[in-house]
Amino acid sequence: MRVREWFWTGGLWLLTAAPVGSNGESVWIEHDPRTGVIYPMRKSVAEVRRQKLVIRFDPPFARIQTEYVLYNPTSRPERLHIAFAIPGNATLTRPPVFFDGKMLSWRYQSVSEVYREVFPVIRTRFEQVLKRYPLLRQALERAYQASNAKPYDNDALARAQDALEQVLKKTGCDRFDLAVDEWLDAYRDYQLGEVSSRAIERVLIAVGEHKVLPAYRWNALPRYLDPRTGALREGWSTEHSEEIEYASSAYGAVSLLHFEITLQPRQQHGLRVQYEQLAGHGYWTMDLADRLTLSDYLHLQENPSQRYDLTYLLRTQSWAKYGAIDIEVYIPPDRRLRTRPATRYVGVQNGMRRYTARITNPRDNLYIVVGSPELFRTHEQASQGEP
Amino acid sequence: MRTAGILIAWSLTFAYLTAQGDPTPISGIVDRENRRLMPAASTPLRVVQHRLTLRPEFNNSWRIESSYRLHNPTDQPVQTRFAVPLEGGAFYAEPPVLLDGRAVEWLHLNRFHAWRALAQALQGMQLASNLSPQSAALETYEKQCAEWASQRRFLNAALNTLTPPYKAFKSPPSGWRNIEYEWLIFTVSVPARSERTLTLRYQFVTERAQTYTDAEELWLAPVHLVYVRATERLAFDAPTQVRVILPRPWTLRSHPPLQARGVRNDERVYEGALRAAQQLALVAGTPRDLRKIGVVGDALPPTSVVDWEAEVLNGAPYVATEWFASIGGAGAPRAQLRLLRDGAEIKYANHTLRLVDGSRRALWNGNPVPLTAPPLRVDGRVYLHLRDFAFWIWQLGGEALWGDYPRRIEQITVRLHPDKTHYEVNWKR
Repeated sequence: MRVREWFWTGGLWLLTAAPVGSNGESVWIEHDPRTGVIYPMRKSVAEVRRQKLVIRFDPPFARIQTEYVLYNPTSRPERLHIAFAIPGNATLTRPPVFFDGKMLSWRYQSVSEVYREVFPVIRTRFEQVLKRYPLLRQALERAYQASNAKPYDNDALARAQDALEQVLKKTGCDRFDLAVDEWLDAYRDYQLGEVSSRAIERVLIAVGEHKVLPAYRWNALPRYLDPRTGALREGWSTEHSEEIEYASSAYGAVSLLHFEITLQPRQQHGLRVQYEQLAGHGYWTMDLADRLTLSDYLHLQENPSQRYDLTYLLRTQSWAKYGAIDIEVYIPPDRRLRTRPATRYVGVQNGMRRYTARITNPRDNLYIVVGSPELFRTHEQASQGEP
Repeated sequence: MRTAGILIAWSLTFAYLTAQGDPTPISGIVDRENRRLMPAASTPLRVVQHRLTLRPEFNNSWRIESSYRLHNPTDQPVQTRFAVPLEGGAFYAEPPVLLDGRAVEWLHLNRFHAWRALAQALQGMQLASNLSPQSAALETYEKQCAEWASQRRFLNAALNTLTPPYKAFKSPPSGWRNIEYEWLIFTVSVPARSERTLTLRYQFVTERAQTYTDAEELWLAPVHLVYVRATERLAFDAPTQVRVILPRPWTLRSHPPLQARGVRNDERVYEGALRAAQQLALVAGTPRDLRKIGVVGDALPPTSVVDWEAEVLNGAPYVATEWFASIGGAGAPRAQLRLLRDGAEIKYANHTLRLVDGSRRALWNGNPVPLTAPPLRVDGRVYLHLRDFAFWIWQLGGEALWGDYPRRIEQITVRLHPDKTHYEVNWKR
């Protein structure tokens, strides 16, 4: 069934859909398990004349504020439903949306709610994967039954898992490099019709069926900057202990801030969106219940070697025109950063190091990594004692 | 005579929550003089009507909508700043503060920001030796949170008792060990001799002690909520009209009790009025989940662990006979449980135990033996009284699990722990 609400993903990091482009766009919302389409884009007649994006790192948080100057060049009012996409969960500590200086009504969908909304599509796609491997499906079902047996029978479950492992080899599914537990977790979510883990997502990525995932639609796939080389790396944090902290706020999940605005004919409007985010710091969960304690925060804040990753989704394709994006990033004086696209250090302002850049026609998101100066030294520099 | 023991694992899952409550008038964020957060103030505003709607959402959260009709009885306009205490924080899915339906500016002060505000206020103050403003702020924050949290009581659904947070369950989850408050802060203006409607909307995501692989336990375990009325600083001229809306498979226990109003739109509705009571303790879940209570056994060989849970039926602890099927395995014969139309039959090796629903007499290898209480059949399961269960699991399981370990028992006692958090089973032989 097609729900024809249309959405606009606005700027900043708003919308985003990956394959096609970047900063802000209007979209349709669809929930059609047959097609798998969730948030197809739609072009708006409105223009973004300019955008200012300010990111202030106040470890462990990052405060983000973005302002747009919007213009409707037509002779008719343009009503837009905007879904502002944020990689990961935002922390709303103040009213998040102002239009022409006035507070707007809004609705926020956390990562788990977005995932839940698209889960029917994801589940259907997983089912299609299972149809390709009937033997695997049978083995998963047996292991699932064993895991739910009451009373719990560890021996029976171990046998079922061994059998599942054999089937994975026999069907060639072991090439997807997924642990037996991950297959089993995915099958459990599939059977329950509930989102208790992200195992189905991992399976779909592994088997190449990732296009139905929200992160793919919104270009929020897990990526992070290598602080030493500036290279953009993909994937979740790896098994290498050195890289565990690379988990970014763009861990492959989005939350959505929805609101509606009306652009009057041939008029210019100001839109401001603001929120906070716990910057990516190697700890992530989709579940809002897993909150950090104050001690956790203080530990993060006081740990000079802690690195923080942040991704801001930039998308411009669905706007009729998109002007320059002025970016300002502020970090504490004892930290350094690397960004992509690059920003320039312009001095200290109010005790914070300030970096700026002007971007036009962005091709990708804005990626930032912040940490102590040592984080950015190459091994050679470190061995030579260079700062 | 000696006592050996088995620890029956605490296997209940609960979604743990958290006390939330009404807004309290405050004079600022920090009382520097007394080193307190959210110093209370007084207001002439009165609450002439209060409606509270509580609804569990997916993902173990409670959605709370609280609507206050505020009356200013004075001849002057009154502007009051409020702070809503949010234990563990809150999640906003929509504008959280409305005045007569219009969004109001608000601020969420999280625990980190609260700590920082305290630390800044303490800068330059005379502090105890070796204590930095940051450390003093942490100490003050933790102390104050513990003070607030200690006032609430949780409802033990199975036993219908109110207990302090640390005694509510045998193994409090980490969320309860780190009781930390956050605040929703806003300012409300009410003209002279006028009324305004203040609406607060927020969600709490609860915590769970464990994750289970089973759907029922993962998603339908009991969800607790304690709502604390702020009657000290905000005068209520009318009782709070409470409405709780639950998914149909769920049921509610509350203190004070709320009335079931039937099922509407496939949701179960409960209503009631909160008068003198300053706390509303709720627990929601499936009927079976609400009956569960932990069991700790003391006296079996230390290497054996049986994972039981008791359910409170007719006021007494019962255990589902399906747990008998956990006896044996790993080289030993496996016990077999057969549910019959009028009871159950458990077979192990050459032994047979036959239970008859409602009968205080069982058959052990064909010979009648007395039971403490008749077995009960509930939701298709056959339950044995905890004392009978403990005896027979020893009798059958002793051979299966503990080999030649002496199986003769002189006495089994079952008692409710003084904390009223779990039952204790003791074997003497």
